[in-house]
Amino acid sequence: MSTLGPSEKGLLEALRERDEPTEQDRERVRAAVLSRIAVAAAVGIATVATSSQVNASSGSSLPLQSAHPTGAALGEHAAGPLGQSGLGQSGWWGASATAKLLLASVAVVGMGAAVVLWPAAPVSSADQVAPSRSVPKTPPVLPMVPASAPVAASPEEPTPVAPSALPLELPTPTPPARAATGSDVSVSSLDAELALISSAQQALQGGAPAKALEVLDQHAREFPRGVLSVERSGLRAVALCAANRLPEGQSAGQAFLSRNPRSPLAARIRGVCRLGEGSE
Amino acid sequence: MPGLGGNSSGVGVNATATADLMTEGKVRSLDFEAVYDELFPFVWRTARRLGIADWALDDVCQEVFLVVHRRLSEFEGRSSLKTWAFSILNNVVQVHRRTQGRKSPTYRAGAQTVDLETLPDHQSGPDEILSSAQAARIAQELVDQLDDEKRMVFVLAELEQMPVSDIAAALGANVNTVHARLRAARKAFTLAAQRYRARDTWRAG
Repeated sequence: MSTLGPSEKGLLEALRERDEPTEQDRERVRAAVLSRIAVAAAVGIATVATSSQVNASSGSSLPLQSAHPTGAALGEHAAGPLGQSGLGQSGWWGASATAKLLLASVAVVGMGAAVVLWPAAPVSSADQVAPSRSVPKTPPVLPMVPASAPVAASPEEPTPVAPSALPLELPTPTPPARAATGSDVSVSSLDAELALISSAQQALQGGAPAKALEVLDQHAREFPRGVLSVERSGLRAVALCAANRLPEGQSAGQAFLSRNPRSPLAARIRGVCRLGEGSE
Repeated sequence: MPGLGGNSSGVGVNATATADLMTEGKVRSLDFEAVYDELFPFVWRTARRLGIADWALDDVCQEVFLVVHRRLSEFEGRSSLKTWAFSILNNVVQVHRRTQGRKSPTYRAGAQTVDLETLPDHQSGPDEILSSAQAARIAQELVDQLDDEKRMVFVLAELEQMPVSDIAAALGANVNTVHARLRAARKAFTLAAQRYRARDTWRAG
């Protein structure tokens, strides 16, 4: 019985005709995607910029090393160079996207960077691409200086920051919580992944491979089987070699190349790790 | 970064990624907006059919396109865009399922599950006349009853009309495996349909 009978085919035809998205669906999702892309890029820049600031001003240990940012460290930079805290401005983009992005920022905060700054940066660009807010959700309310932050991770993934009395109130009507804190918020771990990978890339571009490695290790801890695991592996090989840890780097590079021979990172890995053309 | 610039659309954000491909010696420029437009209906439909509940659909679709955007420069045109996108969708769906802590498409349950026992205006009898909406709901419920592997192959083949070779590429499986799985999926679907009809007749009788 390898074919379907007529009544089954009829059922399937009905299903085929259903499920098409509307124009509204298309535009709503497009706007959210473009916002999130812009934010992910900005997070990478902000994380690296801010952490080097913290280094310079307080002489404290690199925020990226600490999973427990202090309220003070965050407070001092809450009104930093990337602009004022615009978190009350729920009008930028759809509230649900904002809720997720804020929690992604909080997730990166959990990583140690004062990323609460970044939402101010892409406001204008996000405004351009997310003009209509058809998502009828209430805007989030986020205090500027969390003492510590829950990480936007799935329940089964470890939370590096102790869940504290963080007064996060992000009312989101429908979906059940995915965050480890059990708060009633829909949090996307992919945003957090993107934030980490972006900041690792920025660190590499900025000539700071050791920093990149810390961030990538964070990604590996929080998202061992994450969607961006491949990106992590490739960047890790680049970072190891760039940090002059050639034996480890070459080994990681070879492993990556054999699994992903046509990755855009391949040429970069071969160059930085001094692996020959035929190394796959 | 390969191929940035060129004919990017006037989005005005640093969000547009372009990729230049060498496909059969020709350079093809992939604009993210164009890729989005081409793939969106497929991603939306397929995510639903793979069991993503309505409240999570926006998010899953957004995540797929975030990854599409990130990996656009890697797309070499060796498979169709659809096939390539499906492997990303599959990955995102699996991660989503893990974070939902459930293994079966009953995570659609709660708001969305159609209880076949209580479909209100269904007429019973051997020559059932179903409205298109009823038929679609029943069909989805039957698809939900397939196990994950069968469901994926079944959705791609029967609902998207994807050729088996493309499905194999999308799943990283070999063609014979896909054929076998598809046969098994059709069988399972048919049995589920028969059970449904039998249960309905019993209920009416």
